Amino acid sequence: MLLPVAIALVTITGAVLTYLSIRQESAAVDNDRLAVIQTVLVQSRQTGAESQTHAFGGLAAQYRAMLAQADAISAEDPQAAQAQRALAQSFATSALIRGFMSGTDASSTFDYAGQMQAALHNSDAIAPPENQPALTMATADRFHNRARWLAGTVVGMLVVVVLLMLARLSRARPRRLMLTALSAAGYLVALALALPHTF
Amino acid sequence: MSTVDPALPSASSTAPDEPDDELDTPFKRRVALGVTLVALLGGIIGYLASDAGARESATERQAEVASVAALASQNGAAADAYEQFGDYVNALSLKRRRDIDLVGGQLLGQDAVPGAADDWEKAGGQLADLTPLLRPGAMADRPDLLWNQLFVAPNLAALRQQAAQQTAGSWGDKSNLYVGGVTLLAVAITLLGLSLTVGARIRRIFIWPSGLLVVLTMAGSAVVAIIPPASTPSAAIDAVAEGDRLAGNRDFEAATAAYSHAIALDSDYAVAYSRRGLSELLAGSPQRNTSMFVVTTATAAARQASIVDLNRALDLGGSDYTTLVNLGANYFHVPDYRRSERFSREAIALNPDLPLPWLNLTLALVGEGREAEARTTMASAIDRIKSRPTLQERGELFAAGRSTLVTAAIQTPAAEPLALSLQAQLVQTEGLLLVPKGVAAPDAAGHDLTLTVQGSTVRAQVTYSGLPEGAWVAWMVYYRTSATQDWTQRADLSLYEAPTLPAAGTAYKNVFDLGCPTGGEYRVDLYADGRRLTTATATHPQTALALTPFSDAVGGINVCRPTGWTLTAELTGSTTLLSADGERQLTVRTVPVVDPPTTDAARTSLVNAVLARLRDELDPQATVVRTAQDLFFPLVGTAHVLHVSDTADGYVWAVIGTDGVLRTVSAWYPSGDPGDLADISARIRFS
Repeated sequence: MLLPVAIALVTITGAVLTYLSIRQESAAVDNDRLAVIQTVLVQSRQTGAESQTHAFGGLAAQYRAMLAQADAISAEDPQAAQAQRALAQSFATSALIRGFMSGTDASSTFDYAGQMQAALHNSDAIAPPENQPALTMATADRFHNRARWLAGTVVGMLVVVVLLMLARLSRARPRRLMLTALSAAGYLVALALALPHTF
Repeated sequence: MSTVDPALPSASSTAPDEPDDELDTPFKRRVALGVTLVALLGGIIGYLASDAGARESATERQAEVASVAALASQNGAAADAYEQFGDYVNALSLKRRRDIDLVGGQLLGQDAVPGAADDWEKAGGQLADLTPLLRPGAMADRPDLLWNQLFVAPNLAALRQQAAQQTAGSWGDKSNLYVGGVTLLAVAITLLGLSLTVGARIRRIFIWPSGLLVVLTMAGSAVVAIIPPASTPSAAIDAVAEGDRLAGNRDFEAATAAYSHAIALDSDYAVAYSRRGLSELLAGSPQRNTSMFVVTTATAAARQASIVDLNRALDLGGSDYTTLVNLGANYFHVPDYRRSERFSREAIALNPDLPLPWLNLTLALVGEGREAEARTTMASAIDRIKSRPTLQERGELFAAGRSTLVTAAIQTPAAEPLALSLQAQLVQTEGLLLVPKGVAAPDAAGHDLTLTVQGSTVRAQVTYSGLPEGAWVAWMVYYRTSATQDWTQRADLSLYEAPTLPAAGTAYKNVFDLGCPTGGEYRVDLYADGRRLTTATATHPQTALALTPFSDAVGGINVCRPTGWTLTAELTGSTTLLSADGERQLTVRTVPVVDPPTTDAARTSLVNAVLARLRDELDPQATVVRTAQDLFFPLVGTAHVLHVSDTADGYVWAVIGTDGVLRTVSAWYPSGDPGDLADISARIRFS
């Protein structure tokens, strides 16, 4: 009578572990989806920042060209050159590049890296951090591993059920006892392996 | 009638608790029927699981399509936005050329730039078709509005992707629950099978649990089938996208209304609650227009409303990093340090690399009086602040830390020594970053710090000693709108410097608040070498004026416009304010001088000529009553106080800076009665 009860107990344990495995897998899939959402948001921001940096780099080139033009005409028409320089400075202010130029003459360079960082982080207060997709994927992987581990212990439980069934069918008492002991040990091992990954 | 298998022992030879070996007994027939029915039920639930799985896949596909659309739309919008911005800036150059001609003509009496202003205006007008930024309308000269408008489409695609993912997840959950049901039915069948192998007396311990599992599975599956999957109405998504656009325009009241509309359409829309929670907070913050990264001050009502919405978002599964960080911050201010700690730790668990939750956790621990832990977490926060890539973000984070430590000391007086110590740690760290070659000043002392507030200028004066050459000092300026509000450290007003000063004496510092304050309180903490030397507060003289900041970035003019006054700024480098009754007027102008004077004498001569021209502009009969050197922040220039007519007085002011730019101010008002003009004049700032 004990063996059928044991078979029932192990079967139910296996079912519970299956359910827990499904839950872990479900959490993993949720995190997979979240990681995709976050990746889209972060990549959108990255794309926007790159576009902005290239666009502002183009405006910086125009600014330098205006200054170079002023240099070119300064000997023959210093007033026009001065006006051109003033215009170039206004252009730099309007184009929002002044803070990223190394100077105010034609040889000054545009700080692409600085502009990129500024563009990338101008919405940090509300946007997901750039490393968040990777962290969420890591969380998803942890859930996947737990689910896989629990599914493995379910297979272990089914092996125990088979052993118990063999014990039940066995007519020789020593063999029955040995199979029962093996089943008990298997059950405890599988349970011990499953518990750390249950919650 | 029954048959007996000769291979098996006969029924009569078995004990009552041994298995019944008859093939066809009423019990076995019932069990067989039960197994058949359970199998049928399993098949039905399996079908439902398959259907839910198929719907999950289909919705997942929609989400993937939406994500690709979001990225593609983002690319398109970015290309469009920057093309239009480039066109705008180029066309602006033509307009600027016209403006320099016109303003130069007004101030210098000649064309400052060769070429007729009308021609430049015509040239600029030919380009108006390039972008709405160049045409009259809501978008005129507002690249930020155009940007937010263009990015509605990509944002919508991203929101649709999120909604589709949520729906797919919901179908996935259903599918999983059905699979769980099938598993339970398999267990039930196993138990039924086992019941055939035991005697009649103990069958029930297999039969009853089996029946219970079947009933539970039927009921559970029915519930799962009845509950509809999560689905977000398209109109609710549109409303959130509109809210995001409005929030981007910093119209947080309208954004909150848009998010509320989304919630009315779908009361389970976590994203809408999360966004409204942030929008409500920003709407109630005096930092709404100045801070990009961190907000430390908000009204109590705004914080409460934000807490309610963010918690609701959490309940609905929106446990993202930003929601947790904002909850951690809000609960600190309520104050509920335990919850603040909890949410901050949850945010750190999601992302340990960012400084804000570490700062919030530090504040909660300070409030709880857990000094050792607070010092450890502050060290973690500082490490992360230092690693942030932009100077502005680092500055805001350091300022936010100091501001909220002041709040911690006020909320929990027992925590004041620890709060002051951690504040000094933040000052020390930031100071070493900004003034890395600063010399230590262990003997520095300061006292008699006094503050004077006039218009938008705060003037600090302090007596100091023990300041070696090269030592760095920090002026930390705080502001609050009323005594009941939290102090906010103003990153834009505070500064670190290594001034060239004698070892002892009196030091001054002027700072200009571009926010057009009309009341409130300022507080200045003076630090040397990361040690607070002294502190002082001053009340801003309350004025009845309601002022709005106006900035002409190209012309370098900042003014405060009183409500009811007319502001005219059609030309860059020329801003005029006219009172509602038309009796007071102020004009501020700047123009680059194409042939700037190179000697002091030539400069004085040109300034005097400009002052004469400005005086003639007011009234050719105006006479100079007094000449003075006056400050219009940050420049000191020559001012002529005028008697304009029997009924009007006025003044003109001009200076040519080392940058070759001529800057002027002129004003007229009823005789002896400048009224609000005096206050407005004190708020002009050139940049």
